[in-house]
Amino acid sequence: MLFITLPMYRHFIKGDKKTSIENRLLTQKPEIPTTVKDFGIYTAALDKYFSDQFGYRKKFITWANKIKYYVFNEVSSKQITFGKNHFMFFNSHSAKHPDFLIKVVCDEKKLNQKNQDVILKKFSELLEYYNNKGIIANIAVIPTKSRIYPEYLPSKESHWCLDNAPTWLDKNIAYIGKDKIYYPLTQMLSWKSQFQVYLPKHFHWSGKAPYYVAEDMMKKLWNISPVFDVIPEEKTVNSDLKRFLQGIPLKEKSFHYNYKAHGVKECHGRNCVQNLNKVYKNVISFHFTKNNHTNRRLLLLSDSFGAKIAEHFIRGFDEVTMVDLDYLKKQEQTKFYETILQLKKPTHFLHLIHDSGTYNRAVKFKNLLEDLESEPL
Amino acid sequence: MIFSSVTFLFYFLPLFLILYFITPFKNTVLLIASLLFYAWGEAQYTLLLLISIFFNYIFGLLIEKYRKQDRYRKIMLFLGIAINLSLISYYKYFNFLAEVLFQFKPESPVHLPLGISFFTFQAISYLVDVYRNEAKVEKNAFNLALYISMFPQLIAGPIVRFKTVAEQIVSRKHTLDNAYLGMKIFLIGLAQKALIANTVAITADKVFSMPEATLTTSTAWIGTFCYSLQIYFDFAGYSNMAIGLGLIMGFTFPVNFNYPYISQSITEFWRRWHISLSTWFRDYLYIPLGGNRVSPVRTYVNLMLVFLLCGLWHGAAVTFLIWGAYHGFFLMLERYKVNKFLKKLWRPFRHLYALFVVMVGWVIFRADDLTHLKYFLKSLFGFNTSQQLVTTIPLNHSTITTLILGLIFSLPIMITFNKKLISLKGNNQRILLLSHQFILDLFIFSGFFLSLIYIASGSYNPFIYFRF
Repeated sequence: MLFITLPMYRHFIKGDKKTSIENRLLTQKPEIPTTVKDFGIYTAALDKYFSDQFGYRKKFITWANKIKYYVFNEVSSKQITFGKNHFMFFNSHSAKHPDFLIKVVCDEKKLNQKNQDVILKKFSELLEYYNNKGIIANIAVIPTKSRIYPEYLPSKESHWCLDNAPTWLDKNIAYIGKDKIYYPLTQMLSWKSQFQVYLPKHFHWSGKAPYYVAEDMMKKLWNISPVFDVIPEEKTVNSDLKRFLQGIPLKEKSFHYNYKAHGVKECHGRNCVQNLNKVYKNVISFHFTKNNHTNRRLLLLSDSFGAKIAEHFIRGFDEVTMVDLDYLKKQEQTKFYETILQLKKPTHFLHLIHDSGTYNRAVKFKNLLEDLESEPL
Repeated sequence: MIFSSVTFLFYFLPLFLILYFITPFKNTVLLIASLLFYAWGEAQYTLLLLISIFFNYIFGLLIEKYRKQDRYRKIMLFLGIAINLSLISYYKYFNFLAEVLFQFKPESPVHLPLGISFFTFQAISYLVDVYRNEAKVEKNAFNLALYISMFPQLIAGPIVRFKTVAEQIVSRKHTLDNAYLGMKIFLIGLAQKALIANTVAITADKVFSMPEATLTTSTAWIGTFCYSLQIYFDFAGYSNMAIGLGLIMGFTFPVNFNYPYISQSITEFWRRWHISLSTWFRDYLYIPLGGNRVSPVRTYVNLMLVFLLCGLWHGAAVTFLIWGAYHGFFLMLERYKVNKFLKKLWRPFRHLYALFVVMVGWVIFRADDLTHLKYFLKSLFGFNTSQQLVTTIPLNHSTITTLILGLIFSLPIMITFNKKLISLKGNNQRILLLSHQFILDLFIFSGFFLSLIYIASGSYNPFIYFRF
């Protein structure tokens, strides 16, 4: 029984923690209630507080993850689907709606016609906005792992994805035009026999897939051939799903492209684009430059899938600027879009998202374009 | 606050045990802790609990006061029981009765206070025992409050009779042996709940929430099997935790579950399942109604009435009534002729019969409503509308392992093995017994450690959107 007192002692000795590997603020001590009526709310808040702060919590979670993973070949997180051949699939951005991501991309959860129309309309309007400014604009939608490796999903989920039937996105690309929206599903499926398109234990792409997609995209959308090639080097990388499996060392072999060795200047972080953090507080950006004598400058606005592909575009451009839009607040949008165009003066614009992000992105566009439309073009 | 929560295991229980054992005012600490335990989940109904204690205290005194005036004594008893039953009727059955009798759904449904079914039954047993002179009236309100509100058994039993603990409230021994035994029983209960019940519950919930179109026969049986294990290990686990805690504090609570799934008849099942409740109904309803000392027809009526009320005690829904009637029916059947026939059957068939009846009963118990019950039973017996024959519910490795362990631990394997060891003769007997005890203790502590890990890991809740 002495053993069960240890977490409490440790908590009281070490004090409250603010953050953890869970990427959120841990519940802090609630305020003592002043009325009897508030006591119920107080005890519920205390339960959450104790659940987040008890001593040795990280150790317990690690041990639980290790037992599930090594003994039962399972994962604790509702957001990870453990598939066949040790493949892991990130199944939802929210633990409240597990499998949402897989269902959306495989059309098991169909967007209603109204939402489909909004997405397509807003994509068109965004492209028109940039075209009117003399910028060659395109959108890229990247299929995620469930579309590329449905055979490794467990039975229930593969049932949704295995027939590879065209989804609403496949069917509606033609509405905007294949020269405007780049959707490399066929190419990525064909590459499976040549290399690992998605690593088994990753959600995001890495290695060869973004390299070849960038090359293919430049050719098909802009008729640009790469000015130079880069030979990949093998490298062990940590899985981006590691945060869901605390204590499990998830490492895989991937490929790294050394652009620095080819004279590319790189910048990663908050200050790669001067003054941009004044209009976009939580900006994450990448910046690549190399004088390829192309007079082309690419502005890549993307979600988290942009990070791994951005560097590869420097093979066809003199300058590539990538900005991750995931942390852009609604009130920052208008100023951001005006500022980035003024700062970078791109010749080409690419908006890149992964397939399950299309609906979310369209909602953001809807709000943005309503603001932009009030501005004289 | 539940026993298998972080708050209880890592904060409430350690603090309570420290305070309990270092102070001489053990009953005071226990009463305050019990009221705090109750208020944690039901702050606004703690007053109701105190009012219930107060009324039962007064009526206990009144029953004692009119010891020599039988008429008034009876009136006091009936009034006391009536008040207790009114409480439980209002809070538990008002919404149900309003809907069933008057087709009226209240806009603000009456909330069901935690544990009301248990503490009112405990209070009623106290009043009746005082009336029958089976228990001495408790003149110390504090002691009665302690009996009714004691946190180990307050919200989920076992239903403890006052005469069982009356002496222990006033004076009890705290021995190391009892504390050690109590601790082991608590740990077993915790493992039953956290490792087995909580794991199989996930599959059971999935199956029981499946719509008719996807519910195949095999899936329905898997869900039924999972739920049968869930309800047993959940309830037995909780009871064992209560019994273990009681023993640590010097109280001896009655055993509540005695391997019910080895029963060879429904009659036997009810001698092994939720024993404190079945004996309560036997002593305070069935026997006063005449029990089996009346005509056979009247006996069957008594049985059916008791089990209808037993079903209703479990919940305010038609399905609980049907479940009670279902068990009442089989009990009547066994009493009538089936028992003689069962005795002639090969033992495994008797087991199968009892298990089959009980498991189908759990489907009735678990169903959300009559429509759900209807289609689930249809699926169970192969009359479902699903086009598929094979199971549509994937079982992961941990669930399969838990199901196997659940099956093993629902049998009295350890007790049987221990008995065999004790019956051995010779020099090796002591060594074998000690080794067996050591292995058992190691097993229990491993189970405890695993339970803590699983309970603690339930708090892990990462937020995804950041650099992802």
